Amino acid sequence: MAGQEDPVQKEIHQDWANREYIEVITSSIKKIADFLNSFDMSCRSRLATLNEKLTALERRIEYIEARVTKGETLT
Amino acid sequence: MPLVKRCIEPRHLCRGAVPDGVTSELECVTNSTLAAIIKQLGGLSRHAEDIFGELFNEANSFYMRMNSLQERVDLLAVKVTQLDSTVEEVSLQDINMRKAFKSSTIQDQQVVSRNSILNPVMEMYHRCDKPPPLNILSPYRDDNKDGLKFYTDPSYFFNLWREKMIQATENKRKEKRRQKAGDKEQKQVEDPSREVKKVRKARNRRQEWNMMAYDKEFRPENRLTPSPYHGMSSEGSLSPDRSGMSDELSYPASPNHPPQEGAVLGPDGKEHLTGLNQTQSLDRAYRPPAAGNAAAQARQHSLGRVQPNQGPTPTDPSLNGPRPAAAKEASGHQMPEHFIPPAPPPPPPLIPSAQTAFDSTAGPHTLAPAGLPTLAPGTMATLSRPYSPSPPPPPPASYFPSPSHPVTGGPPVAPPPPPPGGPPTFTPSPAHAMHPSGGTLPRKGKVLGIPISDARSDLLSAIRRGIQLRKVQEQREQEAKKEPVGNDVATILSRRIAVEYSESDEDSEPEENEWSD
Repeated sequence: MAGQEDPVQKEIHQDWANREYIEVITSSIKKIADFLNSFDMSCRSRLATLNEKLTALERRIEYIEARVTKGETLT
Repeated sequence: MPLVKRCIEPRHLCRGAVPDGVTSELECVTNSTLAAIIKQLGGLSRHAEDIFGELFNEANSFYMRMNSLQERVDLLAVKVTQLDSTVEEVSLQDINMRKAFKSSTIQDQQVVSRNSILNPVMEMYHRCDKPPPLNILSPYRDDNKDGLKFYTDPSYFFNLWREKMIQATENKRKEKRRQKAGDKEQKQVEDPSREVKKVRKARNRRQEWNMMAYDKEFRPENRLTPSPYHGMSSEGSLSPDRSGMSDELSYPASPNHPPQEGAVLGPDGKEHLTGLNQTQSLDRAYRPPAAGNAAAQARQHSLGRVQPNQGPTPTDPSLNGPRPAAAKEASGHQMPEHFIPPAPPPPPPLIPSAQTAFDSTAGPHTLAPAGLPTLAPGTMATLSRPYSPSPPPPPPASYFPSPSHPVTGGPPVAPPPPPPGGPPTFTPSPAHAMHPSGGTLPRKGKVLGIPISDARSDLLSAIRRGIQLRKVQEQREQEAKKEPVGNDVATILSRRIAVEYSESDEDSEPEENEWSD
């Protein structure tokens, strides 16, 4: 019986080991996916802030150009 | 439930069936699980690349904008150092007269459209079932429509909304025109004192602007006696559109004073006020034609009012020369006003008389020759006004087709064919009446006297040209109205809002027509 159990047990042990290995891999995959999503979101929010600042700057520059020019083009 | 943007494909790692004939099942399962993991990693890396690509594109666009901003800032820095406060002249009028600064209000349009679709969403879309290929049948259709549009049309709702908006803007415009006409009728019939103000306000934007150009301390004071003189003087000096103004002014002047008085006071009023205004040379140049115009206008109104009398006045042929010129210069929107004088003859009797005047030129034997030359030039002069190229021809056009219907049965000579629609068929009929009348007119001229025929042939040619111009302009307007808008939600909405909230001013309407595409 011990001889019969051994290979089966070994197999089962091996299977457990494999599953743990697979589990580690899949949880790392999930962490990567989570990281990618959160990186995407934070990047988008920062880029949106940048966009707002850029738009505000553009409007201010437009105003200043209008103030400063007397009809000639700014080239 | 939110839409999943990116999906990693082998969702369940270990659920595939174990193939038969395998002894070590656990290892088999492990291996297939590891294979699925590898596929997942592949999908994950594709998604990661996509994510970073989107972020990179956005950041790149910001980089370009930032660069251009940097260049502009550099140019501005250079320019500002060159500014010299001593050299710069700033006139007080310039401060108020210059166009106010308006920042560019660019609105994002069509943000969520097929062009801006994300890649993963597009892949998901392509993975979906396609609609049935009804487009195969579209070559066999009779009405040349796209076969698939009957099944699914993405632009259906936008087209529906656009048609509704265009219809709404048209209705608003027509309502406004009807309101304006109604207001003018009411005000001119009921309230002559208020009529002066209303009529003047429609034309005097320039006066208001010039007034606003001065600061409050510097505006020329309003010490003068009430409206007609003040209006006449300042308009005479400041506005370039002289004939229109003087027509306008002598018209409000006429109900308040007898016509000759108005004509006499015109030069007097201007004389009195040249001291105040600086553009004296303009005044002097404009006064003689203005006096002529004012006199012509006053006389024309006396003609309109005493129309049944038809007393021939001796100065008629002499004024026929300047009057066609005045008629050509005057803008069309005064047409309704002149056709609705405060005196008894309301529009329909006047217009049929005009119509009879038209037809009477074709048929000389229907009218008393003595009465005709006085009546016809006056009415023809008034009629030539809407035919001269003027921005809103539809208001005068709306006056003409309706009387043409009852009147066409009446005149015995060269009756125009009963027009099914209004203006396009109406305009050929007087043209037809005109062409045979061209032959009859010289004959009539010989009958009545030589100076009269010259004046009438001038008028006749002017009227012919006016009619042709009006026809072309109507066609152009119809074409323009067929395709007035681009496929832009913003432009459609802005047009609709402009029509709804625009102050009732005739100038705004031709402006809208002009800037439509």
